[in-house]
Amino acid sequence: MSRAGYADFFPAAPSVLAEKEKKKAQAEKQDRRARNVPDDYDRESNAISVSDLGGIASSSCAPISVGAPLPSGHLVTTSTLTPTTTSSSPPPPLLSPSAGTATKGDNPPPKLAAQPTSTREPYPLPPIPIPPPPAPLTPKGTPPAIKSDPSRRNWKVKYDPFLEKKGVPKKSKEPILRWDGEGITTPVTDPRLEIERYTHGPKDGKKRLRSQGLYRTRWKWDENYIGPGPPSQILITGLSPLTTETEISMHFRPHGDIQTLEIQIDPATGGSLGVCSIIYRDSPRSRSSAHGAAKKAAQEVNGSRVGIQRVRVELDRDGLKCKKLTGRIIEEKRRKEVEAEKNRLKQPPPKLSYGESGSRPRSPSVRGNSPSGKDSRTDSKSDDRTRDQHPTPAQRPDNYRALDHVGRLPYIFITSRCIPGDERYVRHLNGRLKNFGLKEVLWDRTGFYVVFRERRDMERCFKVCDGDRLFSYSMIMEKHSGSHRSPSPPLVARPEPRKMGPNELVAEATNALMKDMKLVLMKDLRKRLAAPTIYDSLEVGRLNKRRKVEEEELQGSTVGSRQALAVSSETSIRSPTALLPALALKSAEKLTSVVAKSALPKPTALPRFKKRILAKAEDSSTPEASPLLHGSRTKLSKADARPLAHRLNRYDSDAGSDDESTITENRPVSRGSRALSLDTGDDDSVSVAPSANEGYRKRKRSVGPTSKLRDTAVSTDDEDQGLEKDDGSQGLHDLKKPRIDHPEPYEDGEVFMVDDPDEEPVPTTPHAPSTTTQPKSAMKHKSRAIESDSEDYEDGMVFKVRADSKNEHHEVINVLDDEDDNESLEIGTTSRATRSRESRQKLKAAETRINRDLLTVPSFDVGEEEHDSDMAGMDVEVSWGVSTTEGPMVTVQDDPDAILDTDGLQNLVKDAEDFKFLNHALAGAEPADLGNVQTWAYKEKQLKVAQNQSIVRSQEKIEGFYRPNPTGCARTEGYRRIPEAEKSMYLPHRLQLAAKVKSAASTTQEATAATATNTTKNPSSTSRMNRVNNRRLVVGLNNQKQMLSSDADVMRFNQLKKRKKPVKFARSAIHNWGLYAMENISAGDMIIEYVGEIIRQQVADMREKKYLKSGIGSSYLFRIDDTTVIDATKAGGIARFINHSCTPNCTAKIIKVEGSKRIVIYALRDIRENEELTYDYKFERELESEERIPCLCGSSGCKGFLN
Amino acid sequence: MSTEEPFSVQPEQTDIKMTDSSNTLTVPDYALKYTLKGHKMGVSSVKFSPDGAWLASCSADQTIKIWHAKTGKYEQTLEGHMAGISDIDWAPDSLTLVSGSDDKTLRLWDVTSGKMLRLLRGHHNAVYTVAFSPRGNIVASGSYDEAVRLWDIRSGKCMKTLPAHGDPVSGVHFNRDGTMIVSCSHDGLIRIWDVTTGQCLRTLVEEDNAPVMAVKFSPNGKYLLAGTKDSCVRLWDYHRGKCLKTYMGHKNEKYSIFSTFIVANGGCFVMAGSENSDVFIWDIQTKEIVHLLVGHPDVVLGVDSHPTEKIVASCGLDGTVMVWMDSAEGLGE
Repeated sequence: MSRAGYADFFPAAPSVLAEKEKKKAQAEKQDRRARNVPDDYDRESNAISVSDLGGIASSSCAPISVGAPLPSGHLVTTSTLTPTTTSSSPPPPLLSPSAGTATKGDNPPPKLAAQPTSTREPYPLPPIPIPPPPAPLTPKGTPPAIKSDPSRRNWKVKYDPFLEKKGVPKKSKEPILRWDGEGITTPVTDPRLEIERYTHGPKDGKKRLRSQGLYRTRWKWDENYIGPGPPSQILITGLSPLTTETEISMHFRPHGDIQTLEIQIDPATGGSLGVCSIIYRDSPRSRSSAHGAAKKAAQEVNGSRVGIQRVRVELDRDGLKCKKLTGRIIEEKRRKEVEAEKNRLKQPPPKLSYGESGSRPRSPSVRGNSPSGKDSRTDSKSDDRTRDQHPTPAQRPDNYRALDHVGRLPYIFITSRCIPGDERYVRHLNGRLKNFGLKEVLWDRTGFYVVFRERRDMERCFKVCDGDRLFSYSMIMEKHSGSHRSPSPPLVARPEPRKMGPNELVAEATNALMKDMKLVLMKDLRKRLAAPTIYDSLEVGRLNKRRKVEEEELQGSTVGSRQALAVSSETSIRSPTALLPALALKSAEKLTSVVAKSALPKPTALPRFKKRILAKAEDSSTPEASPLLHGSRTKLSKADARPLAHRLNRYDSDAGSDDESTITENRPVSRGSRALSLDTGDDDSVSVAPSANEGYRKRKRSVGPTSKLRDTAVSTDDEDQGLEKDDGSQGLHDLKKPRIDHPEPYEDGEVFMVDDPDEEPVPTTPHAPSTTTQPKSAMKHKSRAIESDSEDYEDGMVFKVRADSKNEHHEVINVLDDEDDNESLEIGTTSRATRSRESRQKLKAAETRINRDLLTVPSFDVGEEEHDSDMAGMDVEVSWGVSTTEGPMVTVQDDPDAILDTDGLQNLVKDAEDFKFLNHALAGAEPADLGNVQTWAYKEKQLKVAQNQSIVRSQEKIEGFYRPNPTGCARTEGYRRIPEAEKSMYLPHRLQLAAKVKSAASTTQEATAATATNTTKNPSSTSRMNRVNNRRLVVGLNNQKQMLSSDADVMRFNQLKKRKKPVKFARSAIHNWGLYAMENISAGDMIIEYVGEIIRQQVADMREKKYLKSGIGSSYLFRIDDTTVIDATKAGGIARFINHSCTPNCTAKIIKVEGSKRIVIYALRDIRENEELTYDYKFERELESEERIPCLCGSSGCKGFLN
Repeated sequence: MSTEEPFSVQPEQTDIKMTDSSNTLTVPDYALKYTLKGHKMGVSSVKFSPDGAWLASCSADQTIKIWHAKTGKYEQTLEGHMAGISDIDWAPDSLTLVSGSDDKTLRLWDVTSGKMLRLLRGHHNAVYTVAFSPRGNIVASGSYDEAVRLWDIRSGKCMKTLPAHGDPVSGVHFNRDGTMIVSCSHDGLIRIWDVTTGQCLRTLVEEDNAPVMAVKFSPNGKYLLAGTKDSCVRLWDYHRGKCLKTYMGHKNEKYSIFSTFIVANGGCFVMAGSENSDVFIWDIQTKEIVHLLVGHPDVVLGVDSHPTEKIVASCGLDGTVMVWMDSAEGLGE
């Protein structure tokens, strides 16, 4: 072929021409008769005859394939006909037919008949061997001259039993031969002659080829072929969407090596489109070409079953068909979706249609009695047509009656009252009832007519389906047997479609509006009326009043002051049970239990209510404020009208009881309380007021821990932030007790503690006197704090400081009294309350010793604040607080580093008194002779300045990790491998973790040490190779085996193949690079697949060594099972960047997808955005190995090492 | 450096044809002219100023010394670093010098006054390499902390930190218009970065992943010269990500040895130091060693060629800087 191709491409090439000449000469030699026929021409006719024989002719010497769709002789012909290339004279027309006829009568030589068929080689048809060389241009290897020589005519094999496949019944034992020309009755004609005007239209005296009708050149594909290769791709259509790749490959693998197999999937849903394209590849092993495989596959599989469905297989050269097809399918899908969407939009709300249907005739039977005016059949025809033409109901004639089309067949009528008369339901009904042999479903306004062919069917259908549900409607059926059916009711009888009069329209609209408004109203009621009312009913104030009595009864035996306390304090909400002596209830849970016992409807809400009560009480305490408040009530109520649940929710979060949350929580509460307080208003006894008031203030204050200074100075401003509405009253209030706000910064912790059961034991605790010092110490501390820069105090500090204060409690009892006096002076009304509170506080203080710190500290606060606020009322108090508790203020800070040179002494000695002491101290020292003291001092100072400068420079140190290079600098030091341990000392992203790791390591070290002593492990098995061998295997494999091929995972995998989670890689604190989530990922979601080359164990071992040698420090080998490893080092997805963590947030599962095992990373827990993804590498533990890989995950449960 | 010089490299397969290859290319006959002594420890880098007037050398002894480029006269010493200096680079105005040191800082020096202008802090480990932008507004630095940092000169702040590599960054260099940075690292990667966005534009990696010790853009900005620890200097076409030439013969197995281009006599050459104490000069096309400068007693770390004159300088662990001049040219001095 190559030669032939060459000749064809370069017909004028000297070598080709020479060849031709030679051949011609030979032919002429063989030809005894002088003959003018050009070789090519002859060949061509020969080729035709061969093709007639079905292409069985010898393949031995045919450089041009017989199997090629066209006899390639034509090609040669073209070249022959080209004037420049042919050396012979123009061919005489129609020579070959004449040759054919000429040979017709000849008999085959007997020699040939006796020819044995033992060889599969083509029969030596030319009886006389052709002298070499075999003309390369000859397409069939047939000697050109034979045709004309009767003695050298060709034998053709028509049938060769040896070439037949086994199992095919043989036509005959002997090969069937045909003598050249035999059996061809009609003269063989040159196909070109069929071309119109082929022989006409000479141009320049030469015949010209017409392009029309000529064969297209097709070249056999070989390595010299220029055009696109033969199709090696096939397209499979008609697959079930559930068919898996494995299944397909199972069917198509036998035909050849599959290079790629791709099931086309919908980009939107990821579902299969039922189309698959396969590209075969040449396989040197099985010697099959890709094209051959594809062809074979296309031939053999086409029409056969793959899975459950018959598939069509066709060749698809460039995948264009596939592309087109998938495009079409997807488009179709889109269109359908869009249509569905439209339909949905078009569909009127069912309610309305239902309502309309009410005005329609109940059933056709009513009409059935009236005589029909028309012949139903003719009618049906015409109407059918119209229906066909106008399928949409809108276009149907208004008076269309389905009944007319039913004919005499039995039918079931379903009134449109049951199912809205809409054409859409026809389809559904059809689908629903199709099993009953129904003929058709007709519909009109009155309803649906399900027409049956047989009455039996109709009966059956009725029996089964009557009353069934179709979607949300129920099919109430009426059966009508066609034979008895009376003629259709006349049109007149049919009621007009109802036209609503204006009145009705209005009524309808009003109805709708009313409904809506009702809804809104109800909502409003719930929100604005019910919620506050419920609040009120839960209102502490109410309960307070009610319980007050009970408490009084309970506490009747206790001291009077205590009783007052119980009443006045905000503890009033507490259930009676809570007040019982069993009041070791210190924890929050107990509180709730107590609350539950108190039978309040919303236990969780309780603490809040309590707070509110305080607020309310406060408000009520200022009588002059109440009218104002009443005025502002309406305004407030709006702000207050939040859904109850909302607040409760907020409380729940509040219950977490950390300081910040309480801060944020407080505002709404105080607001609400304010509004609510108005209800109880003046009823409350004045005695309740102060303490409650204060509680409220506290609460409010704690909202914003703004600077205390500001609070004290402009307290009204502060009010404005929260409660703009009632500035008036509040302002008054503030003015009255301006300093009450002082303790504000301390409040945060206290806010929720107010509710704490700690306070409850108060009335019952017997040892009040013993604890009197406690509040004082607290107070002392407080006052000190106030004096110093107390505004800087923060919540955290408060606790600490208080803890201190506990320790400080000694002496100063009189302070208490003083304070009390002040108080009473200040505000008459408060005195009693404070006193009582104080006493309570004492009790509490006693409790604190027993209680946990956290709980007790706030209980101090209540008292403290009270004192503080009282003290704040007068400046004097501040001063006494300090002076009593503190020793003399340190005015000079003793600096241990101070150098006693000239400067140092000058600094130290501040006044005459100091000087005196200095003199005294130096009395024993002998004076040195310094000459001029002034000069000396000057010199000293100069010297020091000079020194200082140099010192400063040298003191400038290199911060952080510094590893001096012995040769001076990094560059002169040269390359060295930096151990990971050293890297983690300076790499910024690792530094963050250093502390955490340290703490984790310290704990784990002990653990590992313990285990190391216990386990006697063979140290020889701790090489790196060993680790490689066991990589990710030991622990996880068994578990993963169980997880293998769990269907849910596979499904999820398929689903998410197209929607893997967005992840990114960035520098990681754990190791070089890490993978980070780019969105929140919920637990159990598939995140990413670990992709890489799948290699065998041995290869993995080799590669591991190679990578190690080439300095690739990170290992990206991931074992799937005992024999397979995935290597993502050189080719792989970014999943390889996922680092190890001892407490990972992901897990790697091996799942079986379509026959192959895949590693998929799933989220173990909810993962936040930008969190690094980690999973446990599950290396085998090598406790005594020197090559233990330190773990840098920094998690709390870090084991310290990876292996 | 006059960047308009004809400079083109054909891929290895094709025959080498320089644009003006009519006359045979000869490398200047460099001969040792001066030996500059003064540093007490190994000299890590030597750089000619862009205007060709000065020669700066930095050393492990924490000092930078400025010399007259042509006469070899000592000018002054810049002191201030608290640890050895690994690299220096000149600002395009030849007045400012930036140095990177083991003390994790970069310092900008006014060469005329000898005062420190700015102290750039931010690296977490020894600064290994520095480069001045040709626009003079940015300094890039590579460090042992594996990051490349871009510094704004005016504010003295770190503009960007490129999480570049997984090992110490051994070289950074700007291309001629200052739009790109190339960085290389002991992790074997050469990365090209966009200066404005800080995005990695390309990563060049060689098959066996040998640590890259130094990298430099060619004067025309089309190629990269990268020295690797496997004793090779490679010329990369970074557009195609292809290694065009490999220059071998020297020894480079430990140190970050600079390599540079010499544009002289109408041709282009590649020069690099060696650990066997010679300076190698290759023909850029033929890859033949065309010249060998013998003189240093120890490892030659830094080499640089004068932007205009036929002068090259080398420095090494022996603590000396050697200035080599074309013998013809040097006679006049």
